[in-house]
Amino acid sequence: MEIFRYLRKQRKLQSQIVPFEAMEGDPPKESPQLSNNLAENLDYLKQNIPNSPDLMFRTLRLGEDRQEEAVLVYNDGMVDKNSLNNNVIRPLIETGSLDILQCVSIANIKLSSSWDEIEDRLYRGFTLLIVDRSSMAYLFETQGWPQRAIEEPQSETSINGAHQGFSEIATQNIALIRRHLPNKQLQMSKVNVGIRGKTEISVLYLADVCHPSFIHEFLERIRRIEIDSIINTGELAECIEDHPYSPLPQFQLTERPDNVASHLLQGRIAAVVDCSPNVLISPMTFFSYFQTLDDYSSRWYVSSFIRLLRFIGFLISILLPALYISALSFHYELIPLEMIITIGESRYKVAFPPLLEALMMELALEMIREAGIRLPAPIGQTVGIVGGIVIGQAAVEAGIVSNIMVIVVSLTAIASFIIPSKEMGAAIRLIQFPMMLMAAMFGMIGISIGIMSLIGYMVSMKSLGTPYMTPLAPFRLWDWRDLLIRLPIWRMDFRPQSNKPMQKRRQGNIRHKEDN
Amino acid sequence: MMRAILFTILIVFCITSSGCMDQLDIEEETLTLLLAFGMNDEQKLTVLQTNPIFDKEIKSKTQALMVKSDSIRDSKIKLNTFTNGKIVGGKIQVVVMEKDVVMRQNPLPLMDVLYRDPKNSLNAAVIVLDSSIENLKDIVNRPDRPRISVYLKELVETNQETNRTVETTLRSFYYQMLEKGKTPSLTEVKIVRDDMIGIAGIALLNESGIYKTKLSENESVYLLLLQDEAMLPAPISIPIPMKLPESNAGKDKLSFDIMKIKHTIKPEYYSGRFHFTIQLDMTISLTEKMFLLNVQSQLPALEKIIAQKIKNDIERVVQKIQKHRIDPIGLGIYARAYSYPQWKEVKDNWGEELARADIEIETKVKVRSFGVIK
Repeated sequence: MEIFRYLRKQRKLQSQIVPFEAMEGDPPKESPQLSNNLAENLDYLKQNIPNSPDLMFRTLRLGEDRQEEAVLVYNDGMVDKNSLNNNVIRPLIETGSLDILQCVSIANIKLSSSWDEIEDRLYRGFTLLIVDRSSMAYLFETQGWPQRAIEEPQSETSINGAHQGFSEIATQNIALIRRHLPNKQLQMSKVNVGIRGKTEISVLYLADVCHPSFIHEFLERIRRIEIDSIINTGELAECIEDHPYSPLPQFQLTERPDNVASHLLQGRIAAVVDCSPNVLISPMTFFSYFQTLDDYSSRWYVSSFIRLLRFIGFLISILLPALYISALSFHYELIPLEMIITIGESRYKVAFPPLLEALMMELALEMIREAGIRLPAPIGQTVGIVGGIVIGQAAVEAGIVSNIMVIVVSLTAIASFIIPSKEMGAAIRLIQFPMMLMAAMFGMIGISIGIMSLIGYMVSMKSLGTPYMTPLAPFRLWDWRDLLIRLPIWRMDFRPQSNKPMQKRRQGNIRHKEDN
Repeated sequence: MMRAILFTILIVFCITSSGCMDQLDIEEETLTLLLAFGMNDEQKLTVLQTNPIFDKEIKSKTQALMVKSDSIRDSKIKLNTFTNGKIVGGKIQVVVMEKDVVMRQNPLPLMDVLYRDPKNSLNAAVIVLDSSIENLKDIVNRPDRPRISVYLKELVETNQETNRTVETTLRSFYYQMLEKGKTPSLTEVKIVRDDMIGIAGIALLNESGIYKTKLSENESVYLLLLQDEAMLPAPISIPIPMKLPESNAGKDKLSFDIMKIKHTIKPEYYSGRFHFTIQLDMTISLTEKMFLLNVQSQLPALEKIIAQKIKNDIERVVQKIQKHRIDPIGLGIYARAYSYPQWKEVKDNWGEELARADIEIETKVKVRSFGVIK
C-alpha cells in the first residue's frame, strides 16, 4: 500500500506544478516597434541579442550623395552568400538607390516594424536592412543553409518506385510531393509548434478528397501541443497519437514522396515537419502497414503473394517462439515423434529451460541488430559476423542453446524483417516477449489468452478517430480488395472506405474494356 | 488509480499462480513409445516399455524396461523407479499384447488406464504378438535394430496400405469392442528367426475380446475387400487353374491390382435367418503373369476365371469367420440398419446368428489394362 500512497503524493505534486512557462507570449504582449533612429535600433538589436557572434552587421551608405546610413544585418551561415552579395549588396552599392524594392533583386521582400517578427526572421536566414530615419525595416529572403542532395532513402528502398527521398527542408519536401500532385486541391495548413523551435509543420491534404473532420481534428491536436521544440517527426507523432501507451504505431513515417502522394490520394493527411526527412501520414490502419508502394507496381499475383507472406511473417514472429516454448514445456504431444527425438537429443545438453533459452537468443539478436545500426557500416559488418557466430553453431556446441532454438530465432527475426514498416516490425518483436512469458507460464492457454488480448486491444484502438482494424472490424468488404491480396489496379475503383473519402471514386475506365 | 491497482493485482496473480504444475520439459520426460504386456500363469502382467534415450553419449538409442505387476498403471509406478524422467504416454506408438493374453481374457479392462488419461495418445496401433514379450525385448535391445516402436508403427502402416493387415488404433479398438455389430480385428505380428519382426496377418477376436483365429497376410486383403476398407490399388496374386506345359509346372501365378471396386451389401431376413448378398464389382489391371496366354483374345474367359477364383477365396474367408462365430466384417451393422426387429433379438448373440446366416458372394471382374506388351 506504500506504493499507492507514494503515487498519490506524486500526483498531488504534479498538479501543483505550474503549467509550461505559461507560454511566454500568452497573453500576447505588444511587440516592441522599430524606432526611426538607426543608432537606437542597432542598440536594441545588440542588447536583445547578446552573445551572437554569428550575427553580422554591414554598414552601407545610400542615397544620391551617399548621405543615408543603412545597416544590413544577417545571420552568418543561415544566408546564401551568393544571393546576398549579388542581389542585395551589389545593387545597393552600385545604384545607392533608396528605392529598395526597385533595386534589390530578391523575390520575397518583407517590410516590418515589429522587432519580434524581425528577430524571428533573422534566425530563419532573412537579411535585415534598416535604413536611418525609417521605422520600417526590409527583410530579404536570402535563406541558404547547409543541406544535402536528394537521395534515395536508405531505410525505405523501393525497386520500382522513384529514387527520390525527402531531405530536411520542408519547402523542398512539399515540392517533391507536389511534383506528384500538381493540383490546386492539394492544400496545406501551416502550424508552428514549439516555443523555442517554432518548428514549422505543414499539413497537406487533398481538399476535395480528405474528410474535413480529419483535417480539423489533426490540426486541433497539433495546435494543442505545448513543447519546447519538435526535432523529429516521431516526436510529433507521439504528441498527437490516440494511444500513447500502445506498442503499435498509429501513424506512418515515410521518407518517400511517392508514398505520401499515394496516401494523399487515398484520402489521408500528411504532415511535413521542417528539419526532419520523415513525413507523417495519418490515419493509418493496422493493415496499411503491410502495404508498400512496390505492391502496386509489380504484377498483382506477385504482390498478392508477397503480401500474404507478410501476414504469415507477422504470425510467425509473434507466435513461433511462444509456440516452441509451450510445445516443449507443456504440449509435447503436438510435436511429431521424429522431431521430439531430435529436439530431445539437441536439448539434452542445454542447461536452461526453453523460456530462458529463447529469451537469451532473442535478446542477443536484438542487441546485434541495434549495434549494427548504431555502428558505422564497416564495423557494423563485424558485428554481424560475430553475432552470427554467437547465435549460431558455437552457442549450440557450447550447450547454451539447442539447434532448434537457433532455427526458431532466425526464422522469427527474418519474419519480422519482412514487414515493410520498421515501426510495425519493431512493435511485433516487442510483443513476442510477453507472448513468450505467457507461453512459459500457461502453455497454449497462455498463448490463446495473449492472442485474444492482442486482438481485443487492436480492435479497440483508433488512429485519428478511425478504427485501427478496418476493414476487418468494422467490416468493410469493399476494402478487402486491397487487404490480404491486392486485386488488379483496374479492380480498385474506389478509395478505401475506412478513410471516409469525400470523393469515393478514384478512377473510371482504366483499361479499354470491350463494348458489351 | 483503480487501473493501477487492478494491474498490480493481475501481475501478482499471474506470477504467483502460474500454472506451472503440469510443466515438464521434454528432455526431462521418459516418453513411452512402446507398451507391451504379457501374462504369466499366475495372472501377473509382465509389462515392457521402451523409451528413447536423448543423451548422445550413450550408444544405445532405446531403453527397454520390463517389470512384473498387477496392472499397467501399477507397472508405470514401478517403471518410474528405473527411469530418470517422468514416464508420459502422450506419444505411445504401439500397444503390443502377447497372443497368450488375448487367448485367455479380454484385453480391454487391462488397457483401461490408457483410455483414462486425456494426455495419452489414442492413435497408438494395437498389435497382437505371436511370441513372448521377452523375445520382443531381446530385439529392442539389439544394437543393430532401429527403434522398434517406430518401426512397428511404420510396419503396420505400410502393410495396411498394401492390404496385408489392418491398422487398429486404441480408439478404433475401443469402438470395435463396444460395437455389437462388429468384432475386433487387430494386426498380428510374428518374430521370425529370433530377430525379425514381420506381419503375420489379422488377428480376429470375438465380441468378448477372446482371440479366435487369424487371417494370413494373403487372406487379409479379402477381409478388407469385404469391409470395403481395402486400399486401392490393391495387389493380389492368385494361381490360375489351367493346363500348363510340363516345363512350366507350378508357374501358374497371375498378379493384378484392383483399381476400382464397387461394394454393395444387400441384407435380407427371411425363413428365420439372415441372408447377405455381397456384390463386388472390380476393375483390375494385370501386372504379372507367369504363363503364356494371349490375354487379348482370352479376355472374357480370363475375367471369369479371376472372378471365380476371388469368389472362392473370399468364401473361404467367410466360412472361417462363420466357423468362429465372429463378425469382423461388420455385417451386424447392416443387419441392424435393415431389419432391426430381428437384429434386436439376436444382437447379444450375433456371432452365433451370423454363423447361421447365408452369405453369398458375387464377384465381377473387368480387366482394364494388361501392360504395354501384348
